[in-house]
Amino acid sequence: MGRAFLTLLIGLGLGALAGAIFGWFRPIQDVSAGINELHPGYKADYTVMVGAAYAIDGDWDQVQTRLGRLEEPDPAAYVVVLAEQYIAEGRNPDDIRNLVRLAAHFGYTTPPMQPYLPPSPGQAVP
Amino acid sequence: MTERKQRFPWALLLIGLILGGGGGVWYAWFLNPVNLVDVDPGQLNATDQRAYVLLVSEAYLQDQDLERARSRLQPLRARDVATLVSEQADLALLNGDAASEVRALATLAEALGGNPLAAEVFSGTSQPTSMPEPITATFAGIPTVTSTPEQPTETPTLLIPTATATPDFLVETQLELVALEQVCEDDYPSGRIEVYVDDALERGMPGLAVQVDWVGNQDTFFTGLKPEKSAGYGDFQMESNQIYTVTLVGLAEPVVGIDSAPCFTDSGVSQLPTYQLVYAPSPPEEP
Repeated sequence: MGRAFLTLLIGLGLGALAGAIFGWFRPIQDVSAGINELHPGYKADYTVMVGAAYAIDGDWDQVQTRLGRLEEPDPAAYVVVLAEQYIAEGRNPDDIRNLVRLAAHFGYTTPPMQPYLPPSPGQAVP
Repeated sequence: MTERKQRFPWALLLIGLILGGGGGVWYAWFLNPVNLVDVDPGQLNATDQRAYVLLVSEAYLQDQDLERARSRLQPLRARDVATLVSEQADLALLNGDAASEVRALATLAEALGGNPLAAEVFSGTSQPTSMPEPITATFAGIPTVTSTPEQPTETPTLLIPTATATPDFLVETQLELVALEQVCEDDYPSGRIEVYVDDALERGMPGLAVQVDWVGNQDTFFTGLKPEKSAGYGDFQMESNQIYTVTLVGLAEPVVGIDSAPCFTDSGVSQLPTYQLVYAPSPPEEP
């Protein structure tokens, strides 16, 4: 009797393991992700590209829509932190300028950003 | 004395496997389904992938760094990124997306070696590949045309376009000339043929070929190149003292008798007239 019960338990355990693995590798739902699920590195590059596009078209509504897809709780803070990170890491100056431009439009500029600010008069600097 | 040999309970093991397997699948599908995090662009859903490609295109417009654009597209794992971007450019053109978006996609597609239809309209770096051979000796009767620009003829026969540069998907829509005006004003550009093409919702339709014929010559321009005026706007600069025929290729009847003879403005200045042609979908026929 004990042996039979043990066999049943082993069968249940092995079956559950195999079933779960099968279920995760063959999902019935769409498992494609949104931009908010991008790896942080891709998210950063995405934000740089948003800044590049903004430099071309100046469409701030578009910027907000695109940054909204990242689903960051505070897009402005995210851009500012990213810009400062790029500056600290000595990244591509053009990328930094694109990020700083976004940050400046959000109304945030910090001392490290000053050299990368576009020469537009009237920009508020806290 | 014989020892009774106990048989292994295979049936119980099988029952356990079946029950356990079912439970495992149920757990993986419903209780704790897969949730992707930290994905690369290739794992994005189709909508977000298109948004990503568009963004790469717009970034390319700024930095003109083709290798960077290529590396940004590489995670999409497309067999041919040029085709991928070309198809998206053409789709954007078809959908009447913003001209700036179509232009960005077309520019990148071309740079990658693609040949999108949209590039013929927006990039200006490639010649249309589907243009007909130049038409010759088809204008003999033009000098005798008596129709005025204000009254375009309904059955033009002087020019029969023998080929179309317009893709088939656009030919399905029939348009008609709803307005034709001559402008002769001091403060307005002179000598132009200005074409406006609107859809049923009065939105400009970019990417449409407009063919202009005059004695011994032919030219084609496209709507959508000056989106600041209208997505469906295109223009052409006339020479003086010519009679022009304007054809919205494959979509409307040719308009003949566009006369570029000088006119006089209110202040008495002689200049070439400008003609404004407005096309819109034909109204539904009465039953």
